[in-house]
Amino acid sequence: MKPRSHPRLNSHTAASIVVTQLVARRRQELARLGLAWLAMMQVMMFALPGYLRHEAGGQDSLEVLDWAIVLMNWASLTLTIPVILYSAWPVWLGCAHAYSSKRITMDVPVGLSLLAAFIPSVWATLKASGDVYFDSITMFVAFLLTARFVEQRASRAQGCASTQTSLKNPRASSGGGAGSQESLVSFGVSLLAQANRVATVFVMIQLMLVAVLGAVWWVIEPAQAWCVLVSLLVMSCPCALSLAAPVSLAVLHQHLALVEPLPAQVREALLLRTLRVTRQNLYGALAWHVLTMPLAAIGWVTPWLAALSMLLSSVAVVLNACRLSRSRQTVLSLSIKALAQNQPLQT
Amino acid sequence: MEILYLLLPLSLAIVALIGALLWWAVFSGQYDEVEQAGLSILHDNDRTFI
Repeated sequence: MKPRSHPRLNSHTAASIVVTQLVARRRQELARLGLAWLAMMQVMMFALPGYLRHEAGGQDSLEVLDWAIVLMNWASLTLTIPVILYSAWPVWLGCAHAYSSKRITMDVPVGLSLLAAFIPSVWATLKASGDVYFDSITMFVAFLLTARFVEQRASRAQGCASTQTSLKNPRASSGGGAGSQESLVSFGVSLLAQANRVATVFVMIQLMLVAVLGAVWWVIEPAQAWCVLVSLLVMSCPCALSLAAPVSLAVLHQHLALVEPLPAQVREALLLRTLRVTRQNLYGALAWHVLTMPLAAIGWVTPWLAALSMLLSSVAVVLNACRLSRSRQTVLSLSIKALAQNQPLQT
Repeated sequence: MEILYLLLPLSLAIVALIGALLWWAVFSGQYDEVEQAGLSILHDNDRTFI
C-alpha cells in the first residue's frame, strides 16, 4: 500500500506512519517466508542421498553415498542457518517474550522443536555421521510462516474491514447503531480469547505429553528417541488452532463490509454461523491432533511428515472458513428478503 | 563424483542469487499491492474516451 493511494489516511500523519510501519512489517514477513521456502526446496534436494541410504546396495556404493551425504549435509547446514536466524526470528522473539512474561505461548513448542532438531543435526554434520533433520527444520519453518502469514493477513483484513464499515456507516458509532458495532467488536474479542485459551491449554498438555513420551522412548529405544521427540514437538505446534478464529472473523467482516447496515436477523444468523465455523475449526484441529499424536508417539511419523501434517490441518482450517465466504450469495438474498419484509412495517 | 565439489557450491550460489532477487523484489515494493493491479481496470477513468 502506498500512502498516496489513501488520501484519507494521508491527511493524518499518525495514520500514515502506521501504514508505513505495516507495509514494512509485511515486507519483512514476506522476505522471511520466501527465504524459508527457497531454502526448504533446496535442502530437500540435498537430503535425497540421505533418503536413498536406507536402500543402498553394495559396500562401495554405500561409501560413495556416505561421502556425498557429508557434502550435502554441509550444504544443507549453510542454507539452514539463515532460515534459523532470519526466517525463524519471530519465533525466538516470541520465546523470549514468553520467558519474560512467564506465559506459555505457541512459540515455545516451536522454538523447542527447532532447537531439538537443529543442534543434533549440526553435531552430526561436524562428526560426519548420524542423521540430520535440516529438511524437516526448513519445512517446518516454511509451513509455520505460511500459516502465520495467512493469519496475519486475515486479522489485518478484519481490521481494515471494521474501520471501513465504521467509516462507511458513521451512524453506527453514534446513536442506535453504537450497540451493534460494540457488540461486534466484543464478539470478535471473545472469540479470539476463547480460541487463545484452547490453544494455551493444548500447548501445555502437549508439552507435558512430549516430555513423558520422550522419556519413555529414551528408556525403551534411545536410538529412535530423538527422532520421535522432534516429530512430537513439531506436532504440538497449534498452528491450525491459532488460525481458527482470525480467519473466520476476517470472512465475517468481509460480509459486513458488503452489505451495511445488515438486517438484524441476518446479522444474528451470520454471527451464529461464524461461531459455528470457528468452533468446527477449533475442535476439528484438536481432533486432528488427538488422532495423529498416537501415531507420532509410536514412532510412525517422521519429523518432515509431522511438518506436512501441520500444514494440512492449517489449510483445512482456512478452506473451512472460506465456506463462510461462499455463502455471500445467501447473505445478499437473505438481506433482500428481510428488507422486503420490513418495508411495509416501516411505512 | 568429484563433480559434486563444483555442483554443490554452484547450487548454493544460485540459491543465494535467487534469494537476493527475492530480497530486492520484496523490499522495492513489488508485492505490496498484488490485488490492486487486477482492480485497476475498474477504477479506470473512462471520461477521456467519451
